[in-house]
Amino acid sequence: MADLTREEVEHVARLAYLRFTPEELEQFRIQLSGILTFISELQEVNTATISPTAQVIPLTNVLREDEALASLDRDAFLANVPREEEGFIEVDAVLEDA
Amino acid sequence: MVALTNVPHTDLTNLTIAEARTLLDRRELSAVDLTQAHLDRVGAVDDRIHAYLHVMTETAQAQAAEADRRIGAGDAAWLTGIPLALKDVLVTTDAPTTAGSKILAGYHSPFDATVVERLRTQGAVFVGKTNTDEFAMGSSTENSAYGPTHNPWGDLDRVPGGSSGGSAAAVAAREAMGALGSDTGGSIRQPAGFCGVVGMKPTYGRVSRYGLIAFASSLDQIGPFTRTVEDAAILLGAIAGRDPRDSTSLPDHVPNYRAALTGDVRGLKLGVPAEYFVEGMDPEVEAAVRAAIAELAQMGAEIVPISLPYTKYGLSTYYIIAPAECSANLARFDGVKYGLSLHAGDLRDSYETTRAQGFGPEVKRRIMLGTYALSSGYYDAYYVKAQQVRTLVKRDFDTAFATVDAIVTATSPTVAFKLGEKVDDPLAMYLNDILTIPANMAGIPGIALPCGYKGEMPISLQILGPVLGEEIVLRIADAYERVTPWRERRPML
Repeated sequence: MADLTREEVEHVARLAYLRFTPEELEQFRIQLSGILTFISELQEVNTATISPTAQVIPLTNVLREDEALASLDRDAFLANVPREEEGFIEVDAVLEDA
Repeated sequence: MVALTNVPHTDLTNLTIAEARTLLDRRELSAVDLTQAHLDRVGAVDDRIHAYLHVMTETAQAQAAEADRRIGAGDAAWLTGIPLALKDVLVTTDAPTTAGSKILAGYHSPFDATVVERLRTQGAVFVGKTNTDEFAMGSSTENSAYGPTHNPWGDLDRVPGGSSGGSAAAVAAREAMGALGSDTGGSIRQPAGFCGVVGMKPTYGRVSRYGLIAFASSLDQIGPFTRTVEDAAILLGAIAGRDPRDSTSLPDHVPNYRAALTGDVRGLKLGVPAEYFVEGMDPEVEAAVRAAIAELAQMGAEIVPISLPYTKYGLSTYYIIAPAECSANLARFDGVKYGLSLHAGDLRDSYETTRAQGFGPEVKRRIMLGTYALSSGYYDAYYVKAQQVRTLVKRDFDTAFATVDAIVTATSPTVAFKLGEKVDDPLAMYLNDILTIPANMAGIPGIALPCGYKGEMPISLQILGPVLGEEIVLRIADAYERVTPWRERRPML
């Protein structure tokens, strides 16, 4: 069923924020095509009247009281931040310059 | 049949948790000595096993001293002073957490996982953080960015299974009395089987996942590794129960699991599904599992042949749903908030460079697979289809448990394979989990325990129960363990 093209693999890599060398891309193309061919066996199952299962527990809408609780320590969180300035996380520009 | 090793009971690292508890409470053993014996054992064998990514020597010694004070004050809980290991996907404030990935090298969590907090409250001692396939994705622990773990049995040239291979090997090699792992498609049960120890995946939601680095959130569940079923019951009892920080944790009362171990299986109906004796199963594994089933019949259980017709689709279903969920969960590793951060050009360049350098091949493969299955044009054909088949897999179990109390199968179709044997063939690696995956699809509990040996390599029996059927699963496993000699054997290191 599925023999992926290099373009498809590049497209998925871009969606996933991953980057591959040409050799890796070809290896992934072959491996992913093989796995997709295997899992395409699911198409033989008649599921026309079957509801999908996203999760298996009977709980829905688990809520708690709307009350302020103690938060974890801010400095402890910031200790893991790669680039920090004055208590804020520094990020590359998200928007282009006007 | 290889003769059983004569086990010297003077060796503190060979005690069970239950035995150690008695000795600690009688003050015939100190927590400091018990912990030191395990730290010494780690020092003596772990260069050959590599079960640990991080050994917590100083904090373990301090926890042990505190445990002795607590025992002296008559305030001991079940796990006070018991040396345990934690899979390195469970976040801890007093040790780094890497999930076996370079992208989390040097990460120190500002909070403890709920299970870690619960063990701390009991006064348990943490020996260290154990090796795992990167982000728990794998069946051999060879996908760890920090090198593989070696199975303690045989010639040390076989995999311990995975992804919780470090925890399984640590318990088998007497480097901890028990350990925690996580099971998304068999990642507790399969390595427990390969390493000849007991491993249990509880019902989905029985144990809080708060602080477990997420792989596939609708399948992940934390559970215990131990050397006896009784110890598994003790450890499960310590970590189970509702947690307000995990909205999927179940509010149901946590029973006294140890009290369920009656040793009696008379009148229980045990289903044996034809579909679990798969093509390619090692004949010696099949023979050992069939002998175990015969033993259970001998003990008074009623054996009922059953059919779980959608079993064969479990693997394909899993390899859509788990990667789809993982591709979403692993989006958070972007080099901005924590972990590896490579600054290159614009924001997209930085993201892509960080993730390309930080993730290993299997993690990338699964992110790619999941992203593809969720992408425009393929969502219905792959993801929704897999969720529908998941319904059918779950229905198989619902139907079966209307007539049987538990299901008995092999844990894996083979014993542990050689390091490197399947590393270049992802599909062959995935096929390892064919007997464990359906339980995750249905959210039901399962336990793996030794039921024989092929040469020196352990063979494992899997017992599955209905939702919240932990007691019946533990009861059957314990009863079987009591009448069989398998747990007496230990790896020669």
